[in-house]
Parts: sequence; C-alpha cells; structure tokens
Amino acid sequence: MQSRIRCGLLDRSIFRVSIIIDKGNELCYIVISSAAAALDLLRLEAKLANETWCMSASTATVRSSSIDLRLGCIHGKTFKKPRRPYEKERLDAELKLVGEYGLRCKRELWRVQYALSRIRNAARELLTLDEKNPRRIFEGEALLRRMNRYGLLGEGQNKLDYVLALTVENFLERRLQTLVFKSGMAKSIHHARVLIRQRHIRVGRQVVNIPSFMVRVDSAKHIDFSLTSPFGGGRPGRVKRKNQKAAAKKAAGGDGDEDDEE
Amino acid sequence: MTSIVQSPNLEILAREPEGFSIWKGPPFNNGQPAIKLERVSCTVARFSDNGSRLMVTKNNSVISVYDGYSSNEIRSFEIPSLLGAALSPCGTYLQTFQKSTNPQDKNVVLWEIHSGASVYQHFQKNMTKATWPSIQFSSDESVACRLATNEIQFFDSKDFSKGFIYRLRLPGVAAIELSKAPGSYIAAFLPESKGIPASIQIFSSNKDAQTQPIARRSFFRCSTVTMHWNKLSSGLLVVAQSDVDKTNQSYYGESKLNYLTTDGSHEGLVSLRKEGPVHDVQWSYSGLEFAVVYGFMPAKATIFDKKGNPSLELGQGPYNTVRFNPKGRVVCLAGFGNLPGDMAFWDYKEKKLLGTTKAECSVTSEWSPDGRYFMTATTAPRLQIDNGIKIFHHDGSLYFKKMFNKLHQADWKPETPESFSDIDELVTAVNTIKIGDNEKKAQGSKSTETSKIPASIAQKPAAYRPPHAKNADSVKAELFGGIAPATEISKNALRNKKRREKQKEKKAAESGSNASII
Repeated sequence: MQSRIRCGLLDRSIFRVSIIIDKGNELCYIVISSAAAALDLLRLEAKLANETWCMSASTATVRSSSIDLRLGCIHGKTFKKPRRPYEKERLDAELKLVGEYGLRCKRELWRVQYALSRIRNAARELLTLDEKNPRRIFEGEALLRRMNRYGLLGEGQNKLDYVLALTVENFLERRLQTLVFKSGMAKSIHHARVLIRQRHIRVGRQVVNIPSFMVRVDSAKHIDFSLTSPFGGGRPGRVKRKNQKAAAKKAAGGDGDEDDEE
Repeated sequence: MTSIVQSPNLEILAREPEGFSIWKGPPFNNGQPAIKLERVSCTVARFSDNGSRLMVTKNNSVISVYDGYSSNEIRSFEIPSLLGAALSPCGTYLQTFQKSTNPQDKNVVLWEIHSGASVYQHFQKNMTKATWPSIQFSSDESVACRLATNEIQFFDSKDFSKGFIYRLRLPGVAAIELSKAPGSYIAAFLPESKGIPASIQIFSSNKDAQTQPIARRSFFRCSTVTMHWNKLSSGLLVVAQSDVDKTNQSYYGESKLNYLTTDGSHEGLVSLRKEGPVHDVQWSYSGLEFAVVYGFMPAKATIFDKKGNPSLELGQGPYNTVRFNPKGRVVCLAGFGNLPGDMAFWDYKEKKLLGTTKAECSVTSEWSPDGRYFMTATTAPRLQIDNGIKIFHHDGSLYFKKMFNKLHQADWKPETPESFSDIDELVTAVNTIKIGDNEKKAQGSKSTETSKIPASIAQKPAAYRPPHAKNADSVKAELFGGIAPATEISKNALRNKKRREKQKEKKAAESGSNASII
C-alpha cells in the first residue's frame, strides 16, 4: 500500500486512536480522541492498490468537518459577524435572545449561530448525497446521535431533515446557565451565571465553571450544588466566616453573653 | 364481600348539614345501602387513620369519640371555644386546639381517650394548614414529634408527662413531615432566607443519628412545600411551589417535583418531559412506584419507579388527579375541579386501559379500602348544587348513585388493604377486556354517559367561522364538498338578470326583424 499521510503535532494528549478504512471511497479515517473528549478527524487520502482491507468500526463519534493539520496548534474562528451592522430587526431579535438567556455579549450569540450554521451545512450536504451512500449513512448517523445526545432533537426525530429545522433557541436551551435556572437552583438567569462562575454548581462529580457548557441529556439530572459550596452543605463562605469570628470576638470581649450565630 | 368471614365490611360516612350517618358499604343488597348508624347531629366527623375510632364534634364545644366497629360512644369531652381537633393514627390520643388570648393559657391539649385525662398541653398562637396537627405521630404511634420555633421536639409516645425527651435544633425550620410507616425519618423544610437557598433535609428520628442530615436538597424559587412519604419510608416526594413564576410562563406560579431517597440513591429533580405545573403526585400503596400528573393542559401522566425513572406513560388528557388502587394494579386518572370530570382507569401492570367514564363536578374521590369500588362525591362548601355520591367499579362502570340536597362530606371508613382478598375477577377480566368494549357493562349500569371513545382520541375542534364568512364561496365549497346548492340570488340581482334577458331577446328580435326586412 502506498500512502501519503501528513502528520502534525497535536498539543492535546491522545488516549485513543481508531483507524477506519473505507475501501469504497479509498478514504482512511483516523479518529483521535483526546482526554478532553474533543474529537478530531483527519481525512486523509490513501492510495489503496488492489488489496482488500477490512472495515473496522469506530467507537467514537466522527465530526464531518475536515481539519487540515498544520504544524502547531489548531486555531480557528468560532463566530461570524453579521453582514449588515445596523439592521433594526436583527438587532431587536438578538437583544431579545441575549436578555432572555443571560448572555454576556452579542458574540456569545453569534458563536451559537455559527455552530448551528455549520451543522446545518453538514446536514444539507449529506442530504444531497444518495440515500445509500455509505458516507451519508455513517456521518448522518453520527450527526443525529450527537444531536440526540445533547438534547437538541427529541427521541422520535431521527432523520436528517429534523436537523435542518433546528434553531438557535434549541442550542441556547441546552446551556448550563439556562438549565441551572430552569431547574430552580437559581433565582434568575443572571444569578445562574454568577453561581456557575463562582464554582457552586457541579455536573455529576465535576465542578463546572463555564456557563456555556452544553449539557448532555443524561447529565441533566445530575446538576446540583457542589459539595464544598455553602449552598450544598459545605462550610460557610469567607465573608460569613469573618463576620462570625468578629461577632464571637465581640460577644466574648463584651459582657460575656454568648451570641448564638447560625 | 360476605363470602370471606375475616375480611371487614366496608362502611361509608356521609355528613349532611343536619348530621352524619354511617352506611354499610358495598355490595348493596337491593340497590340501596343499609344504614348502620342513624343521623347524629354534628359539625365535624372524622375517622382515625386506622379506622378504629370516630371523632365527632357537636355544637362547637363537645367532642364525642365513638368506637369505629360498634359505633358506640366511648367518651365525650367538653372543651370551650374549640377551633380544631384531630385524632392520632391508632386512635389513642385526641388533640384539640382552643382559642387563646394570652401566652399563659396553654391552648393545645392532648387527651388520652382511654382514661379521658389530658396528658400534655402547650401554647400555640395560631393554627395554619402547615402547623396543624401540632403533634405528629407515626402510623404505629411509636414516634411523636412537634415543630417548635427553630427546633423539632420528640416525645415518648407512651408517656407524655415527661415532656420532650430530645430535640433537634434547626434554625429557621418551617414545616416538618414525619414518615408514617415506619416512623424512622423526619423531613424538615427550611425556607429561603437572605441568600441561602430553601432546603429539604431528611434526618433520622433516632436521637443518636441526628448529627448529620441523611439527605438534603437545596433550591431557590420556592415558597411552600408539600411532602409525601411512601409506605416503606424509603422515599420522599417534595412538591415545591412558588407564587411567582420567574420564567414568565404561568400566572399561577410554578411547581417542581423533587425526589429524595433515604439510601442516597436519588437526590434531585424528577425529570418531567412536559413544561408546566405538577398537578398531582401519589405514591402507590406498595411504596415502590409513584404517579405524577404534570404539564399545562392537556396534562401528561407518568408512572415512575422508585429510582425516579419513568416506567409507564399514561398519555395526555384533561387530567389533574391520580388515585392508586389499594390492592395495586389499577390507577385512576381523573380531571376534577375545574375540568369536566373525565376518568380513565388503567391497569399499570398490564399497561392496558380498562375503561373511561365521566363524573362531572366531583370534589372528592377515593378508592374503597378493598380496591373494588371508587367513590366520587360532590360536596357542599365547594359546590352548592348537584350534591351526591357516585360509586364506580374498578373498570369505570357506574354502580350506585345518590343525590342529596346538601352533602358536606363522604368518606370510606379506613381499613388496611391487607385485610381484604385480592380482586380475583380483576385478574381474569383484564385479559378479556378490549378497549371500547363497553356494551356488557352498559347493560347493567345506570350510567348513560360511558364514553365509547378512549380518552386518548381528542375530538378535533370545529373551526370558528365569523358570521360574514358563512356565505363565502370557499366556505360553502368546504361544507358542501363541491356540490353547490342552488345559489339564491338577491331580489335586485334577479331583477337585473330579468332585464338583461329581456333586452337580449329584444335585440335578438330586432336583429331578426332587421335581417328579415333587409
């Protein structure tokens, strides 16, 4: 087999590598999963000459975008600025979403719109392929599995057409900030952002500090206050401890009555 | 059920404005119930939780305690300015609340019924739904506790004269719920204050194990809480309600369902698939599963297992109540209150719909202790007309109906479900029932409203047509399907048409005559 493979250095630690060889299209997929569970895909072209290769399935999901690996770190844009800067309806709609979901700036919204548009492009491109095309089946299944896993599509919606009907609100509803608010653990959407940023919230056992964490469906019932947080049963915070100490000192140094602080 | 000697008889207590009477329960001999106890005038009548004692308040200052089986009066208490009274679960003690003006006057008194003496008294300023009865007992009366300011006091239920034997300090505690059977846990609710979220904590009732809570759950946005223990005291369901909905979806506020287990396997929200308030939540009598009716109307109903995973979806519909059958297997979904009263009976082991029926304007609904009958009652302070009792079989067919001028209360006499045999005919009948096959039942029943369509098929509402659109051609085409009726022409149009035809004839005649001339 003659093959030309381009390599590059990845600055994330690798812990699992799977190789999928697609004989029909003469493609070789190498799936590298890193410890941070971000999956990269290298789509390489391998010249296969008259040999039978077996197809081994991968256990990891596959993102359909191809990344051109250069020497050095992977770095790309995550948002796209709108074409017209001062369009009244767009400004109103964006402001409404920013207020409703407690976003920090328009860029957070544009980031979600960019992610949605890439997913829609992928789905649209897959829909132009033939129904029995192995690439369409493989990548379509992977895309739908990811959408189901993150709760963007419901259980019955397992066709690529439903991916085209996704909206920005579907994505914004799955952020950790909105889920903390909707589950009753915060007084308002802004309070939710503050709680997350101040490390009071955990998902499973992991304290999550990021308000835009996309929560998976099976992690959604494990959102709780973290064990070291004063809301979740840990010791009181710095200010309260300081006040308690000052009050105890004052009471002891006063006329000897004990003030019973909680 | 007179075939088996040991199983007790069912009895129904019906209270009207003049007094209450006890009927011998179903099956009725000739369509009418036999009266067990004639009318006794009273204002309040209630059984104890195990049915052994009946407490009757007469004339606002005399309480009589009757024996539940023989209906003889055991003891009578004279208590001035009485505001409320409650029996303990086994019927041993009676708590009374009197109106009091100064803190020196101990106005909550605990009487022992057997001897008639008062064993404990304390002062309580006012009586609210959350704080009455003051002293809570477990079902076997082994644990007794009371909510005092910032602490929970535990008593020795055999000997109240010692006062409280130990206490649990919880600053800010607002509501407690002792687990009923067995009484080994107590759940406490501490409302939100200053920045600290509201929390539900479960402690053990044992004095030694009370340093740390066994389970806790904190949340914001909650003003009141209702707690439901299950029969084995292994799980607690908490409905947290708030008066203001911060998500701006409902005017009536929001409610969330939390589930805590005493072994720590689940401590969190129950994931409900539809947005909206939690209308009703009930544990089954075995304590292993619970049913929730939730969501904006039409509400969804789901049965969850004790791990909090959904085990059966009962569909959507106009329901806001769920009642489990004491013998297991059957659950009744109903829409009472402001809903039209649809009832659906499901067998949740076989996952089959047994029957649907309607019981309009019902206020209360309860299964009989043996699980064979389901009684709904329309009672007076809520609804002033159409007061009555309806009794249904376990599959929804109407068995008995009686109307009253005014009815205040209709209850079964409580019995333990184990003292009755299993419903054999239910087990065999489920396999032969088809959905919608109501002919056999309709012959024997007096009901004319047994619906033949399962509740899941909702009728499509007819489209609203404004008055001026009734005559539009498109509407007519839709209604008559292309076969247009003879269009009625208005008088003017008819006249113009005639004129035009005449002119045409004249022209034709002229041209004809012209042609003939030329």
